[in-house]
Amino acid sequence: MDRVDLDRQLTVVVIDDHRVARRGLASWFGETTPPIAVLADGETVDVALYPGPGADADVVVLDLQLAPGRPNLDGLQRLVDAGRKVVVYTQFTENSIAVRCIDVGALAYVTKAEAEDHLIDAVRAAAAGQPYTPPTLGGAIASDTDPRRPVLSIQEITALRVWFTSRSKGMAAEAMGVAPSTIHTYIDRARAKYAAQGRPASSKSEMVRRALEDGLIELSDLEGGG
Amino acid sequence: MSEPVRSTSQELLSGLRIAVATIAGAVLLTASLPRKLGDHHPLAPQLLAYGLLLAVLVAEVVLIVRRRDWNRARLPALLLVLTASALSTWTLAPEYLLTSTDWSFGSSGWLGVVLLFGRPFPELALFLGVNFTITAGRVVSLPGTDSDLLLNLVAGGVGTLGFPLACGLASSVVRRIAVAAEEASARAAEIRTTEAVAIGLDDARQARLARLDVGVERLLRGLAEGHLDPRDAHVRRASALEAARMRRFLADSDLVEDPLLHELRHGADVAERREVLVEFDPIGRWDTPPDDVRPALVDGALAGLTAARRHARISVIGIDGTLSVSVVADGGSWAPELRAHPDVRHTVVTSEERTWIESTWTGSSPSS
Repeated sequence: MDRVDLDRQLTVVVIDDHRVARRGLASWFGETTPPIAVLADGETVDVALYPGPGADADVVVLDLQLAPGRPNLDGLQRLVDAGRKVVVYTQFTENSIAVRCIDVGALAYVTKAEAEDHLIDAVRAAAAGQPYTPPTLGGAIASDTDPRRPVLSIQEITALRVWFTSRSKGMAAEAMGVAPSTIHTYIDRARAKYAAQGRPASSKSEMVRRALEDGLIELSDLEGGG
Repeated sequence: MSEPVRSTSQELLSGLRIAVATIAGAVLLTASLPRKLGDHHPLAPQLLAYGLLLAVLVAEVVLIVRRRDWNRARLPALLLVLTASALSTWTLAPEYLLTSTDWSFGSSGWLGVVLLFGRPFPELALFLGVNFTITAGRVVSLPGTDSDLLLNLVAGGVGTLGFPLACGLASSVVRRIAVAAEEASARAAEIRTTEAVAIGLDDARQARLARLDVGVERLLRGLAEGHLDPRDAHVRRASALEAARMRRFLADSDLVEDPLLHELRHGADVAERREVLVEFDPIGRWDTPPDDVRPALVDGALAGLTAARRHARISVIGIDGTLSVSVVADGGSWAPELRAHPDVRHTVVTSEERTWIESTWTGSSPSS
C-alpha cells in the first residue's frame, strides 16, 4: 500500500455535492496523461467508506463544504481515520481552515482557484502517500499564528512565503538564490513538521515516517513539535 | 479664542442683571411703607402688595444665583406686579395719592425692569405705561381732581417712568454691544481657524508632494517635447506606472482601516481599466506601515501590475514582523526603477512571460 505501482492506473473517488462538478472533475482526470480513473463519485463521504468501488480508490478527492449535512471536517476526519489518502479541494481560502485540514490529516489542500495548476499533481503525490503543498497552503502554513505550530526555520518560512507569492518554484528559487530543488526541500520539510504535529492519523504517520527516512526532519523535530 | 470672549459677554450681561436687581431691591427696601404703617387704612392690602413685590424680587435673586431666566414665569410675574401695584394704589386713602406714603407708585416699575431684563425695549415701555395708567386712572377717577394733583402726577411720572425706562434702555444698549462683540470675535475666530486649516492642509500637501518623485514630471516633459513616443510600449507602461503611482498618492490621505490594501486597490484599478484581472490574496497580520514606507512598499506591486497583460495576483503576507507585498503578472521583461526606502527590499524576477516583484518591509522587528 505504501508505494503505488506506477504501471497501474491511478484511481480516485470524488466527493462533491454538485453533480456537474463531479462530472467536470471526472472528465478532467480522464484527459490528463496518464489518465486517472474515477471509480465512484457521490455527495457524501459514505461513497468512499462503505464497500463498493469508491472504497478501493487510491485517493479521495473531497470538496470541503462547511454547511451542515455537506462534506465537512467531520467527514474528512472519518476518511482519515479509515486510512484514506485525502486531497481536499475547496473554495475556502481561509488559512485557518487550510491548516486545520492538514492537522486532521489531509495530504493536500487545493483551492478551486489553483486546481488547474495543482490538483492533478496533488492527487498523484497523495496516491504515493506524499504530501503536496500548493501556494495557498504554503502561505497558510507560513502565516500560521497558532502557538502550537511547529517551529519553522527562517529559510522554510521564506520559501513558503515566496512560493505563495510567486506561485513559481523557479522564481522563488531565483529570489532566494538557491536551486529549485532546495525550495522543494524547504517546503517539504515545513510540511513534514506539520504532519508530525497534532493528533495521530494514519496518513500523517506515514508522512512522518517518510520524512524521517528521507532526512527531511529529525527526531528532535518530533519532540519539539509535540 | 471664541470661548473666553463668549464668557466675558455672558459675565457682562449677568453683572448688568445683578445691578438692575440691586436697584429694584434698594428702591423696594427703602420704600416708605414700613415707616408709615399708621397712615394706611386698611393696612392689609398694602402689606399683601408689598409682600408680592418682595416675593418677585426674592425669586429674581434665586434665579440669578442659579443662572436661570424667568422664561414662562415672566408673564404671570408681570401680572402679579401689576396686581400688587393696583391693589396698593386703589386701596390707598385718596389724600395720600402721589405723596411719599404712596410707596408703590415709585417702586413697582422697577420690578418690571427686573422681569423684562433681556426682553425687547418696547415690552418694558408697555409695562411701565400700563403701570402708570393704574395710578393715573385712580387720580383721574377721583371726584374733584385739581390741577395740582395732575401736575404732581406728571412730575412723579418723570421719576417712575423715566428712571426705569432709562435703565432698561441702557441695559438693552449694553446687551446689543455685547452680542455684537461676541459675533465679531466669533467671526474673527472663524477666519483664524479657516486660515490655520488652510495652512495645515497646504503643509500636508507640500509634505506629500515631497514624497512624489520627479517621475511624472520627467514623463510629461518627455511626451510634451517629443522625446518619448506614446506608441512605444515601454512609454505606455511607464505612463501606466505613473498613473498608478498618482492614484496611490491621491489615496494615501484617505482615512481607511487598512491604508496599505486601500492604496493597492487604487493602484490595481488603473490596471483593471486596461482589462487586466487583478486578484488579491492578503494573509497573515501586519501593522500599518508608516506614511514614508508605504510608497516604496507598494511601488513594486504597482510596477508589476503594469507588466500584466490579462491577469495579475497581488499577495500581501505578514509574518512575524515581516510584511511582504508582491505581484505576479502574466507579462515579462519589465524591470522599472522602483522607489527606494532604507527598510524596504525589492526583489524583481522577470522572464519573457512572467514577472514577479516582491517588496518586503521588516517593520520594527529584525529582518527575517
